[in-house]
Amino acid sequence: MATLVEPIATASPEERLREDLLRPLRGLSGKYVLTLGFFLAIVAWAMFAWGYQITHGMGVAGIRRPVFWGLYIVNFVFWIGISHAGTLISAILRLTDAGWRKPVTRAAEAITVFCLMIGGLFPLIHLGRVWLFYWLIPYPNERLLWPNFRSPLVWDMMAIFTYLIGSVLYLYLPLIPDLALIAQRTSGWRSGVYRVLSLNWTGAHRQWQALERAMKLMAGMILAVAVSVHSVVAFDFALTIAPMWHSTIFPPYFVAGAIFSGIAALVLVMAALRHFLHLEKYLRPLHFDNLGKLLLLMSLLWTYFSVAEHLTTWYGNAPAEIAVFSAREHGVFAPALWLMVTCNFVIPFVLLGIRRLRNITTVCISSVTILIGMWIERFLIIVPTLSHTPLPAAWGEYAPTWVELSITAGTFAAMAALYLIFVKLFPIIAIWEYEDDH
Amino acid sequence: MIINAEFHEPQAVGPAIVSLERHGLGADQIEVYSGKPLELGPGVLDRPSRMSLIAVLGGICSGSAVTAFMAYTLLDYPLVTGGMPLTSGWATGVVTFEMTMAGAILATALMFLWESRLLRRGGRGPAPKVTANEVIVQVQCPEAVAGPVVDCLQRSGAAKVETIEEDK
Repeated sequence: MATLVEPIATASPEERLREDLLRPLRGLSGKYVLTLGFFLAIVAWAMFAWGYQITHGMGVAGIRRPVFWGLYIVNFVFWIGISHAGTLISAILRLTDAGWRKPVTRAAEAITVFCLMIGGLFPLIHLGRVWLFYWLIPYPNERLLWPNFRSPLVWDMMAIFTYLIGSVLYLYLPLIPDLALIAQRTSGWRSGVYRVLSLNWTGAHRQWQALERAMKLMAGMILAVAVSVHSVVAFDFALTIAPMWHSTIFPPYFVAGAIFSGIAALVLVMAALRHFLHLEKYLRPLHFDNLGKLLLLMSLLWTYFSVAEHLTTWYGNAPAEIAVFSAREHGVFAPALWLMVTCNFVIPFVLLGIRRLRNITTVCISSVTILIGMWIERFLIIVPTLSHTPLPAAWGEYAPTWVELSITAGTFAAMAALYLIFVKLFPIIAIWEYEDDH
Repeated sequence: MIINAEFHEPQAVGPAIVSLERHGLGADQIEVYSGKPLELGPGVLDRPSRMSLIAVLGGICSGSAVTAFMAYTLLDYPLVTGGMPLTSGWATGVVTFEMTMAGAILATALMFLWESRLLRRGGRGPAPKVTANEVIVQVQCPEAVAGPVVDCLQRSGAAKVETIEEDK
């Protein structure tokens, strides 16, 4: 099999560390190729489904009056939420100078970039006539369209654009020293590509100074952007006078949910990396324990917001709101709601709250249930409100079609495939940061 | 003349630079190469940075430009509103904020490239290859003072010192 990074004769412990962290970049195993092929096949099927939707029109999707936002918007909110894993967690831990973050940050930052790429696709898929997507961009034109900067959908586009730019730079800048290191250890065209990507990094003191300054500044800015992005996603709902959407609590509720699902995604990615890339020495039980505690905290915060949201609706007893509330509590959506509560609160509370039970396996189990619970939460925010309009005669139902389900599956596969490719091309643990800490 | 001194003890690098500066060498003549960030001590090779200032200016410029653009596009459109305002600070505030942050982020990235001198090596000699456990101090000086500089570096704890003619 092809060798990406040539092993060198190791002498010092530092060199052995570098060797070990560059090991995952070496060679392509049959298992890796098969797994990547499997995920790419699912992505190809999803692309076919999207193509089918483009050629046959939006009628092939399950969205119809009155539920015009279905799985596509559920997935959009879900993926944008998970994108908070990386940059936000990494930025918070960087600013608080938490030493244990160092093996975790790059894995988290990569999640952010891939999730934003995937989440950002959904508004385009949802548009139907995707070739007219540029009509979203408000600029003076001759199409007699009034450039409406007051639309939360335009805000979404701006917020995601800024977050994506920031996240890519936030991932790329600390990658530069490692790219230079790989360039030193490869030969031929690969070395040239890595050298270009590393911008001819030499490790000069002024470069380290500039990098550390830039990362500190970026961490502060990216935090503000991350909070604003999910607040803006919440505004898509909260600025609409629709039952159980028009709520001032939505922006912090969404931000809390985003961080919650983001940490869960990070835990699962770390567990997979630890197991398949044999990074047990670096991604230690301590990291899972700390992230487990963060998950527990976010679970309690999420539960508080959910209870506050539901309690005020129930106590207010407004007919239109109570119709949606009842559909969620004891109507057609009740099984989903109680499954969400079990996944997001009961299981994490027991597994993570009791110290004796908290270990890598239980943190991973909690993360899986949290991701399921948070996906259901996005579904429960969107569909019950739209299917129970203030006018009961206009109530309707929603069931996703194979097209929506295929595209949904495709995005999960795309995430896995992007990650598999990333770990083969770049060290998933920031080598220089890890060395600096040890 | 370029002098490369290899140090195996990172703590020795700071005092070595102080001692080089005492020999009359400026910060522009000295560069330190390492595989990870190095703490050289207070005031040693402390280069002033304008990154924060430029980030703020980048944000202000970008935010102002986008706000002006929004006002122009909204007011330029012949929309009949019956006297209701066409622009709104509250409703366009989100776009202003996002674009301000985008400007600040991009300005920071550009300043990183500028201050780190990536993409522009200037007149410095060839960058030495640094292994994981070593630090290299590179000094660019006239041939006349090369002897005392080499002595100074050796006295400061350099494990190996090599000199390179600049025209080679």
